[in-house]
Amino acid sequence: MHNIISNFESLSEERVTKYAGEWVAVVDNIIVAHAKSFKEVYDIVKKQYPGKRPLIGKLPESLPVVLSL
Amino acid sequence: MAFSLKYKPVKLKSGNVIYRPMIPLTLEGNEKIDVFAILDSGSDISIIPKDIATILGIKNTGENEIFGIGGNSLRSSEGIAKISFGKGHEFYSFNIPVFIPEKEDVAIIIGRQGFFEHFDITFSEATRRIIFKKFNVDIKFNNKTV
Repeated sequence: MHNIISNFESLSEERVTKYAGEWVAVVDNIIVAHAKSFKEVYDIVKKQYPGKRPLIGKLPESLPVVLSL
Repeated sequence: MAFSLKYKPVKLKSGNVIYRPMIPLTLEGNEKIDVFAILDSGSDISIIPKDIATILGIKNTGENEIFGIGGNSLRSSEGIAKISFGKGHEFYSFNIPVFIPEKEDVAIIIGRQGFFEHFDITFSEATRRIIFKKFNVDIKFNNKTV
């Protein structure tokens, strides 16, 4: 299995709080890109880390949401 | 069988740090994208940004509005996303319905519909862990098994 779990577990409090509100990409347990949108982070990783499979997500900075239909 | 994941710290705009349930998962379509998402038991539905839906090639199956706290609404497309989720020797693939807001670059949210039915999920605030026990069930959306 690829390293999705280790990439996820590498998101420590120090790293997570540093980029609050931003999208981040993790490659080999290191945050290698951060930006204001998913597409920006995705494009950076595709260009700079070809062949790697990053873990990407947005670090929220607001209280929980409730979504309904 | 069961597995668990630690809550992740979140720094709020106020500067306070809280711990929230977040999970890693793989979204599958035209390519596989590893993401982390908020696991939100208070949300009926799952949300992914439009850019991700476009890369995956998720087909539009309808239009809808979603509502947040205060009644604010977001116009959204609907679709079905294939996900892979688990830890250690337990990885599971299944489809979930997703909503794709037209405009906002929202965080990825995994809500109840299509996901929570697969697991007995315990949110342990004392240990800051989410514990998953898998169920084997057929899930239906709009009366269709997926």
